[in-house]
Amino acid sequence: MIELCGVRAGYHKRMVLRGIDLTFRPGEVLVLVGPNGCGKSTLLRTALGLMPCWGGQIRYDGVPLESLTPRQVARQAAFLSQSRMVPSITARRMVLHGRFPHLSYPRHYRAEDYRAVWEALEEAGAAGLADRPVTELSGGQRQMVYLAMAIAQQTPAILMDEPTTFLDIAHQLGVMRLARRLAGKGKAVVMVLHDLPLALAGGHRLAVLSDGALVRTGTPEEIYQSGVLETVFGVRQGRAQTADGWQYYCRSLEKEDI
Amino acid sequence: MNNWRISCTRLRDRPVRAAAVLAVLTAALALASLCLGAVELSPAQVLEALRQGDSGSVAARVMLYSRLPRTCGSLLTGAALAVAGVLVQTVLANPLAAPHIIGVNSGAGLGVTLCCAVAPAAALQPLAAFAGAMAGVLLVLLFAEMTGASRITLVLAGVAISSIFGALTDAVLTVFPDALTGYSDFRMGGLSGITSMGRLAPAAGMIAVSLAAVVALSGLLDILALGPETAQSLGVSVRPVRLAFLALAAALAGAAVSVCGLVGFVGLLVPHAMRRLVGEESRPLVLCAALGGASLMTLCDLLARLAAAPFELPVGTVLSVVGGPFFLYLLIRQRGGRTHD
Repeated sequence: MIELCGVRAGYHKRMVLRGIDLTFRPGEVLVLVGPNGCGKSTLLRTALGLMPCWGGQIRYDGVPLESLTPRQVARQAAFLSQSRMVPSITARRMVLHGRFPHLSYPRHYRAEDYRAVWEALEEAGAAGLADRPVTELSGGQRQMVYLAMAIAQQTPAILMDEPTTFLDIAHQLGVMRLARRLAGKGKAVVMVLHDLPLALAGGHRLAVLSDGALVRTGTPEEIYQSGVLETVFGVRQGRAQTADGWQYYCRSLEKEDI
Repeated sequence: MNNWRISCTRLRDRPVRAAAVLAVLTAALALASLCLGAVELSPAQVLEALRQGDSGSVAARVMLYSRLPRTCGSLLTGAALAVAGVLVQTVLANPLAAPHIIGVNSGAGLGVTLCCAVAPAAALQPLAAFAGAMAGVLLVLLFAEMTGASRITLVLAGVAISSIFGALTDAVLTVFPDALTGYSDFRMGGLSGITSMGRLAPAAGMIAVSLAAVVALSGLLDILALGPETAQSLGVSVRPVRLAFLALAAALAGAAVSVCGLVGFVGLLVPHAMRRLVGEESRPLVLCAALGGASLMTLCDLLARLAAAPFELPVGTVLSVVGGPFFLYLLIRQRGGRTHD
């Protein structure tokens, strides 16, 4: 479990996060939503120690983040970054890199590493891509390979920064299904999403951020009923009952708009 | 699991084959470099001269005081510059970066010039070159970290840094006009100044140690190639690791420049060609880049000696003539390669 207590952080002299209290719980998909620039990605990066925490405390299973080495953090939480390089290597080799935190010098891969990689590729639905160069894959396929790399890290928590951006609807739904499956296996899954209907449909819990502050957390139902999304995003929300449950949608407040 | 191992073996085949072909090519070019020149020697004469040492014969003297040090010099400097190019491009995540483009070579050049002007001892020159190259590396790294510079901006900054170092080198040469007397074609690059193995020894030591360190740390280079954020999330302390690799690049480029002058193209062309050939897994890439760089430099030195005999062209000129069109060909053919998602 990762706990954030009164976390403040920012870039240069500009404060972006203003005292965030939030817990990443095992077995749960937590979706961070909020307008552009509200601090969602900064929150993930601060929680992982990728950027300094200016105030408050971050604890991994009760242990302060600052007392953990980068390798220890990497064994606790995997990260799917928004900014990704695509090296000219095979998908399998790429996923093998996910085992890096578990290896000591001179980093010879063991049978358990190969097994973890194979399971991760299958879990992410990328087993068929294993021998293909990552540079030759589509955006959606690359995303699955990167997800497999995060899964191969075998961490209790997986943090994903906009994992559905640039993906078609089928791949977006595939990512959400995978997130639910991982949570079902006891992992704490945290995702930054811009697609509100997808967040409401796929998350166990939502955290709504605005201007660096946590406005509200709750189940999709609680968030929907509170109307906080309408206030924060300036849109009109709605939903319709279907055979598969609620289908959410958002519309503009302006009549002449689409 | 069996399928896994079979396909892994298959995937390893290509770099192994490429390395084997490059090793044979390098050996063939080295032999040609030992045999061909103003005085032509047969392979038997070469072997005899190598076996007997300084026996007083013409063949032995040509071998020991010209061909052998020069060939070793071309092999070592080519390998060093190519591997330095791999390191710089990977660490800065910038395919346009190369030691001569971002000011590393010119920094090394300034270091050598200052050393020759103030304390002209051959053993100190690689160290002075390393110090100059490191100054170039640190300036570029500082610029990149402070500004979050884009690829093009970083290259332009490198051009500016190169220009500053070049101007400072000119200033030193104005005050000490005889500083580089022992170096022919220092600015354009040349290997004719290597007339003994002793002259080569300090740089060779630095290059050998640096290459060994790069191979030993190649696993980290693989992780760094995924981008700084992903690398850090995999448990790598990115900043010290980047600095360590750039220091190794500075040591390699500096040692090479202290021997062959300001040769540039190798560090840009060879990494690109080898990435296309064997992909971006670091260990085979570094190995093939070292062999490819050694081959290219030896080939160009051979052409420099033979193309306009009895005159000798600067090796830097030949490199540009041979490498330029080849590099343009690679760029035209490039479809994928490293991209930023």
